[in-house]
Amino acid sequence: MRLALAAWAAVALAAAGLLAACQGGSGASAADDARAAVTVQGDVPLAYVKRSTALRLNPTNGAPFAPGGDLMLRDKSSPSAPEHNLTETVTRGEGDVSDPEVSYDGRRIVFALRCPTSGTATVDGAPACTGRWNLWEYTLGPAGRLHEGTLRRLTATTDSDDVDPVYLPAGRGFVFSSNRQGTSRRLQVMGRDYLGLDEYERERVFNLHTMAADGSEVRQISFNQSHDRNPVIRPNGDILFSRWEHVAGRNRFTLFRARPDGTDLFVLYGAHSSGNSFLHPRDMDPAGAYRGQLISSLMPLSGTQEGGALMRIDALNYSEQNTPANRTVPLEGGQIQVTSQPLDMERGLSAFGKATTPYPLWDGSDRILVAWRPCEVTRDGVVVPCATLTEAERTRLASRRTRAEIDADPLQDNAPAAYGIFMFDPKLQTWLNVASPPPGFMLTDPVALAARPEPAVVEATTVDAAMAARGVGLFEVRSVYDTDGLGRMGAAVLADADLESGCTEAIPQTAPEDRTELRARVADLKRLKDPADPAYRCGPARFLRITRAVAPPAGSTGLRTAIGETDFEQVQLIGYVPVEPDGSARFEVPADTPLALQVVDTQGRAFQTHTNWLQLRPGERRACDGCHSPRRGASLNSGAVADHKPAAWKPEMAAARAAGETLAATRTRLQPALLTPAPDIVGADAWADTTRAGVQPRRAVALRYDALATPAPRQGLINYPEHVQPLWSRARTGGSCLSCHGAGTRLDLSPNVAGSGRLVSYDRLLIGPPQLDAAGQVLTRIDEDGVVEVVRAAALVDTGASEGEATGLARKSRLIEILSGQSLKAGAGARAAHPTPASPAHAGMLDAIELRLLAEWIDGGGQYVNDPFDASGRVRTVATPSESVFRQQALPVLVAQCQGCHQPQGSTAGATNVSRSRFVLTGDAEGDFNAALSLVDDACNPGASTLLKRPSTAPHPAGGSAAVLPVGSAGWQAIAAWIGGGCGR
Amino acid sequence: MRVSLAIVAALSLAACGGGNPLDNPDDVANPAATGGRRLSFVYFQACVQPVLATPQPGASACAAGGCHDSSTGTGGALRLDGSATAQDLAPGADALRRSAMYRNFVSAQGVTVIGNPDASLLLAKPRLANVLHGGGLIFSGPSDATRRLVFWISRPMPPGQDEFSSAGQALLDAGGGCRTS
Repeated sequence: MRLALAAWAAVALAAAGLLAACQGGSGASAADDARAAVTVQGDVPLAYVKRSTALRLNPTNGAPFAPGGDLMLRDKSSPSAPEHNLTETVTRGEGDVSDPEVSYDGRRIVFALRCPTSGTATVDGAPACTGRWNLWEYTLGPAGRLHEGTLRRLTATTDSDDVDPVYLPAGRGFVFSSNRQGTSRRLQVMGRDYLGLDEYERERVFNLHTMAADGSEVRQISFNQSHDRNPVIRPNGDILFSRWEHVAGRNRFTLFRARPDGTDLFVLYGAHSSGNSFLHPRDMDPAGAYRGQLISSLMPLSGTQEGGALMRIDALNYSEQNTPANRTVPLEGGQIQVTSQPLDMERGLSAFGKATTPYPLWDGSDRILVAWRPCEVTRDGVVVPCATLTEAERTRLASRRTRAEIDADPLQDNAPAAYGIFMFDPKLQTWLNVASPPPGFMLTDPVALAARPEPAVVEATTVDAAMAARGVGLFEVRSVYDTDGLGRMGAAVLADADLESGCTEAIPQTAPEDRTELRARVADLKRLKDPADPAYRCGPARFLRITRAVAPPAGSTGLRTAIGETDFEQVQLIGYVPVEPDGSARFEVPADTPLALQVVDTQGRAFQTHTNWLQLRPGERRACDGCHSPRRGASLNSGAVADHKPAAWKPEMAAARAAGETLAATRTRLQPALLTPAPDIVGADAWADTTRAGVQPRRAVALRYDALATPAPRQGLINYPEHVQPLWSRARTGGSCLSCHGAGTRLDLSPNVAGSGRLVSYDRLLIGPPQLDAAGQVLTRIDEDGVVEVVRAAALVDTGASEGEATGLARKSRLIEILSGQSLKAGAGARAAHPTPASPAHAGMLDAIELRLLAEWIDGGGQYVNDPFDASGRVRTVATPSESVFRQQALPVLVAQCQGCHQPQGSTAGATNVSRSRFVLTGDAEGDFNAALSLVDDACNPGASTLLKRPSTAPHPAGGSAAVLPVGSAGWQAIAAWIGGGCGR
Repeated sequence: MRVSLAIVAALSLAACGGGNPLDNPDDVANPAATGGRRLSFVYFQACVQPVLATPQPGASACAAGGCHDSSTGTGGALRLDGSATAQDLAPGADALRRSAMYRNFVSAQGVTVIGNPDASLLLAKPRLANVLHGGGLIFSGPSDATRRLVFWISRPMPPGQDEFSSAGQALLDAGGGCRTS
């Protein structure tokens, strides 16, 4: 390793020497200069952005800004070719530019530009600067004088940001990412109209939009709850983009695809592969050695200025790193670093530097233009190469240390991100410098100014006009039992208690009939759908629960406290639909709405947690193979399996079934009312011909809220104080829960208010007790950010979910196990921390409908409040403190005192329960303002707000001894003054 | 170490070379865009519609009730009316565009990459070629049906001509039969 590093330094010196020599030898005139220029093999003109290293690039930052950015052009891929600034007439040094993209004829560049409203430049006689990110287009000048082109502005919003544009083929306009939320803002929960924040409650969400070539007809096409970024058009006409998937502990950027009208939106690659955030995906040369493959940068969720490894991804043959799409490829091999020396894809030092924004050339050479920065640190504030570090120093920087130890170190991993542009050849493994940044700047987002084959044109999907008019779409799940190696609807999520009486196995398995199938064993749907087979009534999946995301409203205060001790955002129940014996379900859902699906058991408890969002466009019909199916290959419920008609079906059902139909398709065709999700869990067998000997129906289920003695949730929104707390207070035979769990008891379920401002019972149920060591001392550990945290046992209500572990929350919560008297999916640790009380027996204390309410609340994430509005229909908020005062007074304190720990923390494949602080700072003022607001509970009593109370209450960080922001300290006062400024506004 | 040497070597080669450096690739080949081109309606209604509307060996028809039927099926972007009848071309484009056969044509063409059968979902889905298909495997090997789909997709109408172009007639043989090569 050290040898190689030394070699790197030598290479850098040698290269510099060579370049200097050439430049020195060139002639006097500009023409001579151009001829004598050092040209990187293949003379391609290029554009890129030059931006300030003051920028805070993070995958979670949708549109970071720092003054000093511009769009640059070079006629040659050469460090000595003249560099032209294409945007300085607009930015005048005070603006910023991002995300250039080239038209397919190589003649135009579309990009995003932001400059302050104080800017004096004009366009078409009007001020050019709007203070927000707008889309601009540059038409190149004639050959040899490319920089003598023309600029035009495509969008001019003054209240939202448009970034990341890309050309649609055939002059059909653009796809771009924007926080306009053109459609979603009108379709918020309960018909409200507001702008939604990302799932850190920080930034207005950026989703994909399209517009015509002249900037008109802007339409939103994606409906994620966090950012959708970096769209490009694939050769087949699909949009390829990077989606921030952030539901509960799942927190990463995954590669997605969609048609240009937003239909058929689906994960393409990277939901369960190594690494965290796949950004900047692009197709490799469709005529080159890596045709069909993608290139992407792969990085952590924060802390590397969007730098990471350079991955080549075989998304054609793999849906994940270890999930092949066919039998012709090895089991592993979905992704590979293209650099022979591995670049680190995590936080921390990367000996061979970090890469970002790759742009593969489509010229037959398979080369990649890419921004790359060397490994550098600062020693006593001076930037030095990592090659100067001793082994001991490298070990020290990589070790787990407390924040104080990190801060006290003269070595800091905070060197400016001095990206330069390189031409990387994966075959020769050569890195040729194309452009180096001046001090204080980075060069990123290179694009080759060359024509390339235009992608195919994808026409709009033919949608169902009647459904479109009603604002709905149609989903069909062919079988929830069609599940991948994670077993999201298989043995992995089942417990012995799920077996119906007389059943020996819940889901019978068989060898697949399909010879292309990669799974050795699959669910035996033929047996499951045959009423004469015992498997019929043993099938555990009975209903599908459909929920929608409730976006955090921009500008609301106290949101984090209201949402509670959970990594989930708020959710609304849309309803339930039956799952037929073959595992199928078919139903209508609101279009352009982020949805999640869960299979629930006969008691209304979900088997799994859906940790991303589905969408349907109006009138769109989508079929999914199954519940977390392998995403490639045949649906289990197809062909001979689907067409198998058992003799024990009711004759009228057997007669009605049409070719290819799932049982849900037949049933909903006969009874269209079943397409609409119902508010209650009610269903009976529709298929078994019980007149035949030995045929037993599936058990009927009826869990209706009208049987609830306490207040029932309205419109699918469960609020703990209104709907769950009354369960504890309700008078029962033998006394209410409070008769044992009164105020002051270990499990205090009383309706008193805790220091958090919430009911004490809520905090008791959601926060696990601290774990003690043998000496009775509180156990602590140091996390990745150097924060000391208290080790806690599992809480009674488990709200942990990530890509590696997504078992249904109610089924793994001890509260449900104890109250139902069943052993479900709680872990050994939780059972040890909360043993089942010997007496009185808790099973049976709550009735079935009360248990359904509890399960629905826990499965949704265990929020304190799911309704973002108060009784009068207003966002739960206090008067908003000023954003400008925040920037001046509060932000500097937060950045200095808090940001080191409170950084975005991504999840990785196989991670189980990633639960860290939800309060995340990135130094980006707008997002940090919203994040801080979410912890302001009462502007007239600043000290009582979580934002000040937490850091001023020792110990903070937990496990330490002191408070990081003591009451009355200068920082505390600055933040208090900002909060107090909102009082009475 | 080896890589580092390679870099030095490459830099040296590329370094002071004016004109056309070593390894300089050829000019970019930029095939004419297919945007705006259309597949043949004539060939579709004579040769493709029957493939879509007829049960395949061991499988349902694409247009089956539970599959891509335009009124009862769920199947995504491909929506078909299995009972659509062949249209006389004489009444002209406007009349043709109101027909069920034309709607089938538009929907089927919408799941193709014009000129590129292998990249077209219309073939990739029923072949299970690295994509998922709710309807399972329909075409387990080459057949007259797949050859017709390949032939149709790989022969778009000439640039500037619409889907009713008489060029489509050339895709049929003299007797009106379906050519596949």
